Amino acid sequence: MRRLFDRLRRVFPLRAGALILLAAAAALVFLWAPKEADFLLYPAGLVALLLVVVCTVLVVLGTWSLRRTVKALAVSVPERLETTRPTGTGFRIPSLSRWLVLDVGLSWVEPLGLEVRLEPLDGQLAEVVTAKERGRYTRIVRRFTVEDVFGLTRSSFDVEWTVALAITPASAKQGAQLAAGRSQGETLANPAGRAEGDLVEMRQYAYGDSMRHVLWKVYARSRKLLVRMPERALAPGPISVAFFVAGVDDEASAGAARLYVEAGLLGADLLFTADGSVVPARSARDAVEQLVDSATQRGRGGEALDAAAAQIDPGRLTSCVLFVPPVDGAWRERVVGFVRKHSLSASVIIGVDEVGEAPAPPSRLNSFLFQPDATLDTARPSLKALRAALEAEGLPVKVLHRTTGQIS
Amino acid sequence: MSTLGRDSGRVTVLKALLLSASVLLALWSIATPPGLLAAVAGTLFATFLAHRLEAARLRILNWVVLGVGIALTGQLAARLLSAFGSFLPPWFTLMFADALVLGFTCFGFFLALRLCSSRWRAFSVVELALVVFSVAHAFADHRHMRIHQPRFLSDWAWSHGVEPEPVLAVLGVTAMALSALLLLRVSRARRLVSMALLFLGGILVLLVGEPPRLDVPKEDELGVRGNENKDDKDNKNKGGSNSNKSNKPPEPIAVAVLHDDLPDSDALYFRQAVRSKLVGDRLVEDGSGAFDTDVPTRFPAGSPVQVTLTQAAEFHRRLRTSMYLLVDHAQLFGVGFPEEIAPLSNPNPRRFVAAYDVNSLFLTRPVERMLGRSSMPPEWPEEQRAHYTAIPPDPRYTELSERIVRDVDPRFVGDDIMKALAIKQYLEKEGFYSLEEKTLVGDDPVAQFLFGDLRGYCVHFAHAAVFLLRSQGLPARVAIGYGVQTQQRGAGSAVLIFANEAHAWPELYVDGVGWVTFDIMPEHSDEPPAPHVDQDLESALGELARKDPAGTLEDTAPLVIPWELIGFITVTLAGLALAGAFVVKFWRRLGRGSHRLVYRSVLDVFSDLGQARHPGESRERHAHRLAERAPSFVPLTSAHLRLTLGHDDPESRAQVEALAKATRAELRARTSLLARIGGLFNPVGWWFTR
Repeated sequence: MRRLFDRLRRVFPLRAGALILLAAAAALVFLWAPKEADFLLYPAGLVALLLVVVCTVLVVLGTWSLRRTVKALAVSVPERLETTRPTGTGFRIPSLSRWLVLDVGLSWVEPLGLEVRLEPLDGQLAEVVTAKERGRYTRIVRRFTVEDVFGLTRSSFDVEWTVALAITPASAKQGAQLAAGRSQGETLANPAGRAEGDLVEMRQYAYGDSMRHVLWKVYARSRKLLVRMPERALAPGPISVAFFVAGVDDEASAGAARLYVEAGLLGADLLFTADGSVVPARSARDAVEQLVDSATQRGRGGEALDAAAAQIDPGRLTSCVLFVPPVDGAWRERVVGFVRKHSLSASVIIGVDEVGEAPAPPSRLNSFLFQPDATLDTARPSLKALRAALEAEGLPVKVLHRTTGQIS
Repeated sequence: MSTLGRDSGRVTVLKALLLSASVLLALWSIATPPGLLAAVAGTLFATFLAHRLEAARLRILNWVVLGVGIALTGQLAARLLSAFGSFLPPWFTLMFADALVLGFTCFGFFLALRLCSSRWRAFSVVELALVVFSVAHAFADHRHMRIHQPRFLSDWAWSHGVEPEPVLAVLGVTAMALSALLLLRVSRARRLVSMALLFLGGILVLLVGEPPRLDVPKEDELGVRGNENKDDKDNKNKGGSNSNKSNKPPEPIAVAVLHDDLPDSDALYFRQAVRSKLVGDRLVEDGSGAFDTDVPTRFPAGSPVQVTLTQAAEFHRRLRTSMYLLVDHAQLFGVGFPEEIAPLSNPNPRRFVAAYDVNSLFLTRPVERMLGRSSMPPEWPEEQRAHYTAIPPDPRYTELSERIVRDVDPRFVGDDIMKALAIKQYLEKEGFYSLEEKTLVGDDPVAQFLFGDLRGYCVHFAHAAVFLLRSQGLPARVAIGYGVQTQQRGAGSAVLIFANEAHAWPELYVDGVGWVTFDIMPEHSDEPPAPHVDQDLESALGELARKDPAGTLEDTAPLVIPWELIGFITVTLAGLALAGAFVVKFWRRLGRGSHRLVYRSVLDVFSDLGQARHPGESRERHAHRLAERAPSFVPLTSAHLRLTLGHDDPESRAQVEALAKATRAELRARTSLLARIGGLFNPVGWWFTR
């Protein structure tokens, strides 16, 4: 019933404003003006009627014309899209600019959550999409809307195309902190160097390096700003087992996981498993595919950890990296249980899109007049508590800001 | 969606100006200058503040509450100032309080309205209505056919030979077209073009459409027209005549232009119909054609309509009037006893619905001077006697009339006229004229009235008088039409008839004289006296009827717009331009000789189909864009460019011509017939060839 109502509403061109205007204009022309002999409101009412009628006719004709054109168009969508990155799909539709009062709009009904922008190009409108969430889809449904510039009438129709589309999570930025951190002599090997370690003990200063590591004596002699390199681990034991736990607002964590996978931060011999998959991925490409597929597992984050661990050689399963969502949930107990059960030395990485402390709660007047900012990352207020809870369980936590690459 | 979202800066400025102007128009006549200034400032401030807030995530309903609160704060502050500001000069208190009220109210109201319309576009229609109605309010005096108002407009229009209505209509169209700006979100050239088209469309509608006409007055249950349409809740006028309790000005429904001196009479009766046939307990019009043949019932189509009057000429004077109806009427009416009705050329069909000349007889002798005459003519056949003396089978009518005539002066016992005057006197003395008596409309309303408390209006008095007269054997009937009080009108020769002057009165037949108007005028009434007729309106409509709208402003040269000449020149120029465009089109289409001309002719074909080269688009890119429709266009473009860049050889030229031919053929094959026909008749496609 609701779907039928939605469908009728899309097809019926008159909007609330038009109905009000139509009723008022009809009342003026047929009731008020004859009764009061008003020679000013009578033509005004006629013009209002004319406006609504013309807009309705043009919108109906424009929709018919656009539908004819669109039906003949190919899907024109790249096989892969990346979240947060505006991508021109190559799909173009007529702008209907010659119809003077008509505007054309385009949105995606399936998959949901994509921002669609139309850019004028060669007299047509070219589609640019920005995905917000990763996922894999077998069809797309575009909704085309034709409306008049006065906002009185609007009509829309959906067109479906069968296509294989994967939306991958945007990779986090690799910051200097991460670059420095990966070369530290901890349990993480520097994948850029040789497995047995490099003999380099100093290097050129890079933005983000600590002032404490600058070799000031060398600078005084040579005017070259060099920094000390921490010694590498003597017995490099690359941690190459990683799990991705799906959950609410996990796009930034997925981006962080993709960075670690694609940049080789987890070493050459990679074993990566994301929720929804059991067989570990051994290549960055497969790992990204698993990340894409994990979008459907947000309600069941961490459930497949044991099954995934069963696929891995127990000898290698001594330590691991866990990418978890920034919002607490049932997954936390599963993750903690998993780590305890296998007595793992695990480190946790949380990806976020917002940095810094959550803003102070708004004043009473502010909250009376304004709604809370929807663009604010919902993870921010609870992230501190989540981090504390995980660290209390003995799990070291790193929070990676996806856009800047900063680690805290 | 490109049109949704925030208003652009330019649109916001336009909206602020429009809303401020509407506030000025609405408050101009009631606010002090500081109040006006504060109202405009409040409106502007609210509009720009709302524009800044649009991007924020607002709790709109709370902002509406805030807006109402701000408006109430202004009211409260003004009251406090009035209560405690006794130490201030009164003029200062008045103006400051006005500024506080209007400034705060406008700010609060428009802040809430603008925020609502930024969230829900339907609210923009409210803004539109606000602007249109403020303009309408400024010119509201012209309503109810008071076409001489507002004076500044009507004087200007008439002094330039233009009717005020078209000027008002253009104002209405302009107001609506400008107000449509309030519906826009962003301003672009094509939107402004659409606004201009809307304006032109409105003007076209005005030229084609009919002006508004007043509604035809409805009849009440006893059959009188006129006041029924004043059905406001607070106005209880119900039928009858001469009610002045309404706040609305009365609506003029006709103008009578007298060609002779006005007869010496308190009232002019414009008879429209008579009711003489008794059906049940009430009188209706006789449809048999045997009676009331002295009343014209049809409109003179082509030739005059004449009726045989039974009036004696020596008691009447002839009167010629021209009637100009402003409202449709089912039956025509004329002053006195119309004898001949002739069609008249309508001087202004947009204003008057009908015009006709009436030659009528007007009774000059009062009924009191007819004493001694008998009422019933002896030559009337029995059927006619019975027709005009029939009364409901209620013995109370005869009993009452007998009681009334029993008390007449003994010298006049048995005198028909004295009997009639006694009945008239009884009703006038005992009756109470009131339009409030709705209960009288129902079953046998005349008996309810006559044997009840005698409270009613003209219809009841007329019917009661007729039944009482008939019960005494006096032939009588009810006349329906308009009764105009001559004391209330001006001295001009035009008589303006208003809808609220609808009236019903008895007519008594007097042997040797004819039908005599025998109106009952109750001494007691709860109706206020009728206001004086607006003499300006009366003379203005009279002058319009005589095709002299300028009136006394004859010295001013009227502005004569040669519409026919303008139309002829416009059509001729448009035709010439069209023909020229087609000549150029087909001359270019020949495209013989130079490879450039051949290539241009192909480009023209594409332009006709709307596929011209875009600004900034190279020739090669253009060719590739159209390769699907005409694959040969790509090599044709290459060949043309090669020739243009100096590789001129006869082979290439021949190749260009062959490719051009192939391109045209491909285009023909892959373009629908409809599109090709459209392209063929497109006169300006070549203009867009680049």
